[in-house]
Amino acid sequence: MADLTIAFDPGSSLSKIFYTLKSFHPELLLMEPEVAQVPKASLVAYESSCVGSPAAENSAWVEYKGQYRAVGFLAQDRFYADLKLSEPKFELALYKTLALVGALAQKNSLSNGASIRLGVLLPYGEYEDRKLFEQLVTEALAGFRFRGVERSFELESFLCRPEGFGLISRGRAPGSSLKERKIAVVMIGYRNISLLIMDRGMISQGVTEDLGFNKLVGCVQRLVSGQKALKLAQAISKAGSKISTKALAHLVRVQDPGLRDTELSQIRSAVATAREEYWISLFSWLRSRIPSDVDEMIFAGGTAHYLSRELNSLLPHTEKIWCNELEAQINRNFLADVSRNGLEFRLTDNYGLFYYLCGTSERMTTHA
Amino acid sequence: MPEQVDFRFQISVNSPYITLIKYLSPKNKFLEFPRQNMITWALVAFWYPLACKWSGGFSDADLKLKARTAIYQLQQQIIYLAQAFGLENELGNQGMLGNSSHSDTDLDPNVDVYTSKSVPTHVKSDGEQNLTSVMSLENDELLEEAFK
Repeated sequence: MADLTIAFDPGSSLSKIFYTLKSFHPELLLMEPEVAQVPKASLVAYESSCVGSPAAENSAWVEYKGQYRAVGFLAQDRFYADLKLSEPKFELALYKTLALVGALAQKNSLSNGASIRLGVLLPYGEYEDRKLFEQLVTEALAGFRFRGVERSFELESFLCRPEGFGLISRGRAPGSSLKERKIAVVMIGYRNISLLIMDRGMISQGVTEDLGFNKLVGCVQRLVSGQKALKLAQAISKAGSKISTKALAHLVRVQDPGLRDTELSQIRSAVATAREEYWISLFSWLRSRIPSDVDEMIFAGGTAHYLSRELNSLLPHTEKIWCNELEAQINRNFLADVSRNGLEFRLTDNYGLFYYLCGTSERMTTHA
Repeated sequence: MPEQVDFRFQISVNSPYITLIKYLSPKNKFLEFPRQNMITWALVAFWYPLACKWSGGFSDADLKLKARTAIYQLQQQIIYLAQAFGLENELGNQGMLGNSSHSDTDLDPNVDVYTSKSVPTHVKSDGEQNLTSVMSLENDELLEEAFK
């Protein structure tokens, strides 16, 4: 077993990391998704202005090949980074990987030279880039700086899988062989939607489209003014299918008590319109790509759960799998984090990958 | 739908725990988690390993794994309660939230021990063996081939 085993899902709305040290002891680390290019002088100024000892993941910045990047909370809070939704995920994932490894090494007092087993989920559309990503990350982990301190680790093994893999491998009930089934895995995240079709154990189709929850959020932003994307996304998700006004109330911006109800009603109406528009696009996309003879459909991602009522009506005779057992395990084992962050449904894929990674360690090809 | 088993529970209105029953009742729309999960998790963490021992048919290794899982879940509940009631410092000082895999001396000063997840270390001897059996599932080899 490597000194540090990491399953990393570089989500566009949150970086989700399950990890363990050599003594098996699973932990969850969450980091904000932002990455910002920052001048060295700003980072030096930041370090000298730090009061106390902020948690490593909240003050993460890395230097690699003369480039400086703030990652996570620091990038979001101090350097006002945007989500860079148009950039390839794996490119940002390189800096996020360096930052999370640096933070975990600091938190756990790992010294240079420690071995790392890394598993990463990428959208199917970027899965083809896995060799390039492996090359980049191997080279980068061998020599970078985290918060100004030189770090160097050995990538003992690397496993990159498309989003949805954790669910196929650990989200299905035991006893049902993949060899006998045609399965569609539908991952709907903040940035995009990935569809993976597995027919009797072989991947027959994989496709990723920019049709994530941010489309719905963008539609609401066009209909009502002055709302920030992530805050809006959280409120829409919390408001659920019945669009509870209570969950949207904090989005109201006007101060005049007489106008507050009017603005709230406008926001609610915008969410209703956006939700309907979004579902129509999603429905049409899914129906044209999922073969009607699939035996089961596995759903994952926060957006899928947001639209569970609609998705359950797709192909009425196909078995629908929502990975409830995996989700219950996460809720039980990481109760405080899940409760604090409202994370139900968003961790299952990576949790599945983490257990796959630990379970198959003996059989995995050692990284050359 | 699979056949369901009915399990009812009634207590006197004078019971000191009536607040708990009201809190968990379907009338309470503001529960932190789904009601059924909250009840099942609590019962499982406290009593499931003993129920398995009572029923027979489980190997010693299986029972130990179930007990270890239950202890892990109870530890998580300790952390949750500590955070909910602001008792992190108090319990941390008593070592109840500490990470048993670290000694105080090897903790980095920047580690926030109270917010990082802290669970009991898995016993290595038969723990690893059990872990492997839990983690290696029947479709893994097929998946490795499919994603090569």
